[in-house]
Amino acid sequence: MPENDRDLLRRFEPVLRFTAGESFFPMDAAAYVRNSSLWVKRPDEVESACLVPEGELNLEKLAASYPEKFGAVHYIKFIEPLNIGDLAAYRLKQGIAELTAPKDVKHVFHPGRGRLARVGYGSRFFDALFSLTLFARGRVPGDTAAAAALTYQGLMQQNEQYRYYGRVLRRDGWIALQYWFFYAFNNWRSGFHGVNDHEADWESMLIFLYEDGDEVIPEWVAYAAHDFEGDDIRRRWDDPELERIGEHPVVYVGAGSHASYFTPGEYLAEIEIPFLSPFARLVDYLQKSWHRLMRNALGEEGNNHEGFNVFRIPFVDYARGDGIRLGHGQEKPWSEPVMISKPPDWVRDFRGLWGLYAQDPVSGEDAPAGPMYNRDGSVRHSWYDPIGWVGLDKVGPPNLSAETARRRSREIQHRQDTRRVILAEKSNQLRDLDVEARAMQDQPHLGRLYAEHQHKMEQLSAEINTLRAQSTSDAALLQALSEYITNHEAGKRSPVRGHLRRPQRPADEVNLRIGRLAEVWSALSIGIMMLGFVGIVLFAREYLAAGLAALLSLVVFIEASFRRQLAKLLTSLTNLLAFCALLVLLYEFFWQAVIVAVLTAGTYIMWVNVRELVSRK
Amino acid sequence: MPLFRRRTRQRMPKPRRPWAVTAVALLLVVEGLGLIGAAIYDFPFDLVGEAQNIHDVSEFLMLFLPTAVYGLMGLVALLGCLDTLRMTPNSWTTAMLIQGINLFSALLQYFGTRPVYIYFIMAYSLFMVIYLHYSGLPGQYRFRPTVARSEGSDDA
Repeated sequence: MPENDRDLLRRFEPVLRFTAGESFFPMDAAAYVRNSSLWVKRPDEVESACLVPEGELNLEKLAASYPEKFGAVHYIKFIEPLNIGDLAAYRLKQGIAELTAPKDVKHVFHPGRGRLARVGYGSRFFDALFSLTLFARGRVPGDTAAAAALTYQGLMQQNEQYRYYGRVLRRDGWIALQYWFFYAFNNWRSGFHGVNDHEADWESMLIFLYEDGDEVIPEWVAYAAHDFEGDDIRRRWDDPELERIGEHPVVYVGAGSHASYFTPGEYLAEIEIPFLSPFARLVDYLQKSWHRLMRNALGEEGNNHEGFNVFRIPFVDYARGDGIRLGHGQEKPWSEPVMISKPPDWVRDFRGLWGLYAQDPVSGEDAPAGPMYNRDGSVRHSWYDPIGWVGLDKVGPPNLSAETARRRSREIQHRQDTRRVILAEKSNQLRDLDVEARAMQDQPHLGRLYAEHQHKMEQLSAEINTLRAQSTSDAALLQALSEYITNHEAGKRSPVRGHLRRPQRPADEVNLRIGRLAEVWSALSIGIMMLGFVGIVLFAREYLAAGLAALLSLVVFIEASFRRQLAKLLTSLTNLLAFCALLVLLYEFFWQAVIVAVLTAGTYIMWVNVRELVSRK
Repeated sequence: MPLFRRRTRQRMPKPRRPWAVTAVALLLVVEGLGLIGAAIYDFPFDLVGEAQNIHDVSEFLMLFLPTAVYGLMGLVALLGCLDTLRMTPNSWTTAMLIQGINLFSALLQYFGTRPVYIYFIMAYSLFMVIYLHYSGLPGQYRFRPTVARSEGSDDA
């Protein structure tokens, strides 16, 4: 019996497992909007203008038209940051609650050992820098998140419900179930030492089904995590990595970030700062080129050229799954979903941001747009083409694969037959021409015609060669298709993880076991470096450059030792010095270098040729 | 059925040293001798007798620094050659470290006194760096003689 879209969504709705300490859960977007105001930031005005004040806004008013000039940004404003007094009171209350809470409580987050040691200098410095910029703006870290948490708690006390927005799309033989989750706030930075904080968060996951008679069969599941897309974000239904409770896939939600993961753990998320992107790509390119050029051990063994890139900042995304569980048969059940298959007006017509427009270009503190749009108002890839977004546009449903393979076999066989006829014709023509050419050889007056024949024969010969090569290639393809069909009919499937290139994995136990000393060093090092800088400026300013270089070298040396990367660091430095030496040598002895290179090449060629001559005797 | 199983330690046959590793050892010998030669060449013999006339100790020591560095690196290169012949796992890193220090010293001297031998040191170290990376040489060093542990046979 075919099910309707709502039933399908409910049948496969996911189970969400949060990390202990998570403050925000999927909620009703209408309740959020009712407690918010609508604003616009015009490009030629310093202050934003309020279009609909708090208490008057609802989904209908959100969908209304608010014409503005180019460059204007519409956004929703959910809360005002707490002042220092209110924040201190909130923190105190929270601290007391954590101290008095039983051990197994699910609202206390502990970062655990090794966080600082794992994330490196970039994120430590970035974190400190962002806090300083907040102080400069008269604010304190966590003031907005605390205000959002209080407002969210108030809303939940009025009406506790956990909602998702569901969309069903049928295309190319697939039925895509798209689940959208709306969170009031992303407190990854202030709550979990992550990259950013922003109002509102829309996250999604997808389940791909296909119909086999009256049955719908799940085949793929895709989870959205940060900006990843393509093959790596999807897993096949029978993949052991995909955890399921009955027909409900389990999602491990990143603490504060609300990114979705297949397995519980602590993930290192690398963030690229926009204005440093070209440098990050340059370093990637140089690393790959170096590995390719030198064919060193790393490149040969694993083809894994991804190394440490100083221009990408690593942060930890905690998806431990030790907090609240949400979904079918869990402590918190889902409320009735809202269908958005046919986009309601508030989804389709509001292209603005769903939270504060912070105008913070560095850390992405701007709120996201709705489920349908990107921040710039363009339609999201995951909305207009969810199948292509997860790399399924090239993959058909399994029940159609054998038929597709048979059809392709027939087409290729037909192509082979046609080609065979053409080949026979062309071979005959070539033989005819050859006979004619041989007949003309002793006739001086036919010289011109003979040359034309030779030219035609060369062309024909090349064409026949191309056709034979294509025929051989198609024969191999036909054989592969035949084997594929046989395997498919025997129930054999392609490797469950064959499509994955760089799947995300949580940090392994070895990486997590970082010594206490390394952790202490990580906590103190950035401060020591800054104090050292001040010391050099105050007491030895004449040696500023040398002092800074020495200080930096010392810190890098100690850090590399703790990370067991000392050998790699020394190798990289030596490579760098070798490159500098090469430049110096070329600068000083360019022509001599050219002469030596030519002499070496000439000697080598002579040696190879002479060796060949000698070996012939 | 035996009453107990005896653990025996069976030594693996000694691995054959790849030719490329032997070549590194020979190159290190040449480099070591060359560096010792550079150290002797740069030794400020004329200042030894006038040591009592020099008041600035740091300046005096700086004159001996290249000799000290290259002499030390020369000795380390000769010792590194033995390590390389024995194929100890860290010998590749030691060889790279020697090149790094040599290049650093030579580049510092290039921007200072610029003696003529630094170009030879640069060229030789550059060649060594390329050779140490090339043809999967780092992987060759990972092969080290191991002692395999096996369970005793049933007839023991």
